[in-house]
Amino acid sequence: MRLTEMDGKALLRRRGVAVPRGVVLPADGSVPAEARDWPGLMLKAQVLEGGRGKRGLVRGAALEEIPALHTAMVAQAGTVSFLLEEAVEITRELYLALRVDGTRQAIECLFSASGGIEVEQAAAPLRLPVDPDDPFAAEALFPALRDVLQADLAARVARLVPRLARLLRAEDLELLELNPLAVTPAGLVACDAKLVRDDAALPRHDTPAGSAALEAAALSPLERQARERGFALVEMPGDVALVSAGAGLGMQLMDLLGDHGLRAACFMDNLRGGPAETTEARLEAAFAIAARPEVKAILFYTTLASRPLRDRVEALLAFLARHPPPKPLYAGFAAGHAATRGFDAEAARGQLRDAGVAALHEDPLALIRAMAKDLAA
Amino acid sequence: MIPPFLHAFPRRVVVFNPTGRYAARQVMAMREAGTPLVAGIALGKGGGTLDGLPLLDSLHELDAPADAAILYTPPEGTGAAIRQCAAAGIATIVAAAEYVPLHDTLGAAQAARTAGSWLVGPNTLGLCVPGQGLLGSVAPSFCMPGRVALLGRSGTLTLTVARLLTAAGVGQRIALHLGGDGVIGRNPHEYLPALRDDPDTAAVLYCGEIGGDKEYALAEALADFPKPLVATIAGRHAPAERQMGHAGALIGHAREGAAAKLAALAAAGAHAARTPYDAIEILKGLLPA
Repeated sequence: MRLTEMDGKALLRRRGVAVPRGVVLPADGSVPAEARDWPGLMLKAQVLEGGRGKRGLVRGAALEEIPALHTAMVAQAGTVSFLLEEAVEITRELYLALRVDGTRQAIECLFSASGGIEVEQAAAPLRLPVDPDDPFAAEALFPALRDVLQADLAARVARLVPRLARLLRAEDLELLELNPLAVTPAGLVACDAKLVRDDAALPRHDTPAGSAALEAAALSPLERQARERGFALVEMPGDVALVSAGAGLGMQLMDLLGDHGLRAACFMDNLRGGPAETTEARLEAAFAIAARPEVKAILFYTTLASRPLRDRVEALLAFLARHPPPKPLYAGFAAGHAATRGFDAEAARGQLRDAGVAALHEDPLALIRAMAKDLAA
Repeated sequence: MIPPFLHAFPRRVVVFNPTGRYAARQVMAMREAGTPLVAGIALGKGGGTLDGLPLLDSLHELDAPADAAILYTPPEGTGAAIRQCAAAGIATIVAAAEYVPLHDTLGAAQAARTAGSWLVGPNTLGLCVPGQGLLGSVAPSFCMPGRVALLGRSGTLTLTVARLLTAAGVGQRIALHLGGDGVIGRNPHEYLPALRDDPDTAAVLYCGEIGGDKEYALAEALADFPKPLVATIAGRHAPAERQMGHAGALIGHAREGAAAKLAALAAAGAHAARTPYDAIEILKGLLPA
């Protein structure tokens, strides 16, 4: 889950990381009393998309300009939350991020002496492994930082990084990005913060309501409904409603469709905490997508090692008995010995054909070829 | 260190949390496949049995050391279970659970590595050495003995490709699901030294996917791998910036996309294949009948 800047900074503040003073701007755009004496003001729309500065959704303004600026930003970004911050005196902008490097199996620090811009547009940052439990972690980081910063500043950054690495772990973050990390007369201050929490660890933490609402708002109604029913759905522009299980196989089916001039209109996978069986919910979503005029067919394919094939086929047959497919349905199953124990696969094929399945193949390529041939006819 | 199950298939295998509905099915399948299961570890169920498999409250109660462990422990407990197995010196650990918190896996993977254990997963269906045994749920009926080492990042795709290989008459030295998460016990490139030295492996089929940078480490390792490696990457038609299921499967930058990964592997000497079907045709051409 991507945290809004406001939620991320609240977390950093709780953990003792310096951030500018800030307050939520009331919906009427009036400046709260506590912010009236701040030496300068920054208004920041709390949206999750990058490039806010370029879009005019992060701007400095005088006290009396804030209500009008708020109105202008609402017109552009909608009724999101707005963070009003103290404008800090910045002498230099740095880039600092921590993330988990899965290949090196370590927490990794990315650092650039040029911050405040999109890091992809700058020179490649330093990549430095960090052991949060190493009492000499700062000393280990210092030589590389000393190559690009003056010694006193390099030391300050080197001392900050292990603290942030421990924070990354304690807060179950995948990414903690400070851009810019500002050098100010008062020390290093995180002027912007992008924090991404590991979805698998969400139950361990309170979910900030603002971040959760923005994440939900980024989903389509069907995608939100799918989450509520225990599976992940990604909608895409396409002409085939795809019902699959397993991410790799789902992507492979998308690729095979693409190679035949067809595009998957959706992608499905399991979701943490979801029920063991979501076939019916997936079919409902796929049939809703298939009802759209631009969608030409439905593809249902599954590979089972040991989960009973009987359950999957019976769920499909029961669903088809109640919901005739809005577009031709192409189905395929590949099941291991354990999955077919006590199950008459040949009888099931007959039942599926009787239920209106346009084509049945064990091999996904043969199935998609049959679909592409039919649709081209 | 080499993957211990390539040297010799484990002889004493324990199963953590074997009594759940899913796990019990896998236990039955492994026993049918001849996997030498010696005990199930299930706190609170010690003294009982699961279809004849003795259940113990703790790993400490084993009468002789295990050389492999399959973990069906729920995600919140998987990190601790891996650490237990590593501390007990278990050479092969297969962690099945999906949705293990990232930092739990990171710490547990480091602990397993330090202890000299070979961790497969988390988020894995495990591995099948055709003709020898099964650790997890890679269906033996999809596999046949042969000389191609199949390494996959996705479970369902590993199953599918094993089945396609077998249908095409291309047998497998091993069919292994590495795990779909960003952090897994051992990365793809770490398998190459053992497969290079393994006389029973003639070629490798790597089935990767979008997201992360594991394929770049694999490409670097190809300099010291004289056998053919055929690679395919799922997700060529996946949209950028959308999470495609697995925690690892998200194109954040261009280099995490399928085209860039395939190009890097090809430049390093791999046989890059657009689809698993193309990969199998390449393998058939490379391997003597």
